[in-house]
Amino acid sequence: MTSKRAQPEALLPAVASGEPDAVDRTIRRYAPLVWSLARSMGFDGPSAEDVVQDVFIDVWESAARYDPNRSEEATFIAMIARRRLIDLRRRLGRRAQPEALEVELAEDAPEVGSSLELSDEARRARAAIGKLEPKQRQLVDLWIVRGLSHSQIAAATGLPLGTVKSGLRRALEQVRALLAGGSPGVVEEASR
Amino acid sequence: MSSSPHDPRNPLRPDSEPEESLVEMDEELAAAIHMAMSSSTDEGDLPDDLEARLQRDAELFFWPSPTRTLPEPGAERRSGRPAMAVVALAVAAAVLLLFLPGVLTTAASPELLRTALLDEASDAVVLEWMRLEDAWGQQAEGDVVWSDERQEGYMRFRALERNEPTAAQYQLWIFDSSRPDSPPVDGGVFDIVGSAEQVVPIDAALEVDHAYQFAITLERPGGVVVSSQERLLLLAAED
Repeated sequence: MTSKRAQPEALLPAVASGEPDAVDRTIRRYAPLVWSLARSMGFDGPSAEDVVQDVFIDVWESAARYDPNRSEEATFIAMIARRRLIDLRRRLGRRAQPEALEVELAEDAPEVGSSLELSDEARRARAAIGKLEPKQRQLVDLWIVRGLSHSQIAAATGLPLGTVKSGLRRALEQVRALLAGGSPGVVEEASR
Repeated sequence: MSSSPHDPRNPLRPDSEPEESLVEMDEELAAAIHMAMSSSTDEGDLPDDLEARLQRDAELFFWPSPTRTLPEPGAERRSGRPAMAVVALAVAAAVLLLFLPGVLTTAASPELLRTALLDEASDAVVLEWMRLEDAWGQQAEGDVVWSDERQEGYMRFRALERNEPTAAQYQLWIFDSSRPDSPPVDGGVFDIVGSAEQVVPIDAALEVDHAYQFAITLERPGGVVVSSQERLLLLAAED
């Protein structure tokens, strides 16, 4: 990731020092993000609210480890949230059942919206994902956002397991190349 | 997305399906993609009182007041369960009141909860860690305290190698004599943040009837469901 927009003032260093104002501002700034991640991974109602509370405890515990020179604050918090969400869903056995999804890979694959105030990295990721083919985008959505395993994606979509794996690999390589400023065309060509 | 030590590429999946390792990604990339794509889902608005509950949790976390009354069950969480870390801190604050009335401003710690468990649980056992062959555990010392009755326990470590949480995390495994044919119970993932003594609460995923052995492995971030035990570092077992 090369070019970056001006980012809002990092709050976690002040949180690590126990500054009440920074704690309040962190909650106001990032609670909608964590809520959105929890909802997108299938948590709803009370369980979604509980897990958001757990994520913020993790954030408070990890605040001192945040280095603004290494990652954006929103991304750092999203990483913490994903770790907690994935762990909790594994414990609760909440992984979505493929037979209930009846996924059909189609041209109307998930669009990338803009209802959240995105970090610079997420904004560029959104642009990169927008350049994927709809089927690739849907594979990425099923794996990263919905949390399905490769086998479950294969079962849900009817695609052969190898096709799921290779499709995901190509999609992620393409996103990574786009984020790094490389040529997605080269990646596409190389991965064929 | 660099390959710096801060964001190494890791298989993020917590499940143990072998094919997951065929597509690897770094956590930062996954987080950025997830943020970008979840903004298109029907996430709904933040519940009205969630922000207030987050603020109350934060107050308990950062400024545990020994005079604060513990929240009534259900008062702080929709599911009737306060955040576990908040409960631990609040209980520790209460322990401070009972045992250390002159240190009311001291932050609560798992050390005090461990001491309280040893004092109060008649069935609590203390088992010392035994080093295995892994290099990361060669200097490690400590023990594990566990009460079957209270389903509560704490691990104590000294000189266990510090881990980078985005690259690997330690995971505890509890061997339950009532499950002889099942894999050990997941006791939770944790990080070692320095060389000083560290007490880590045990977070058992299932109820344990009788814990007779504990093992520490090093796993990918978030832990695994069943460990391959490639990096088995420490063991604590009954005689």
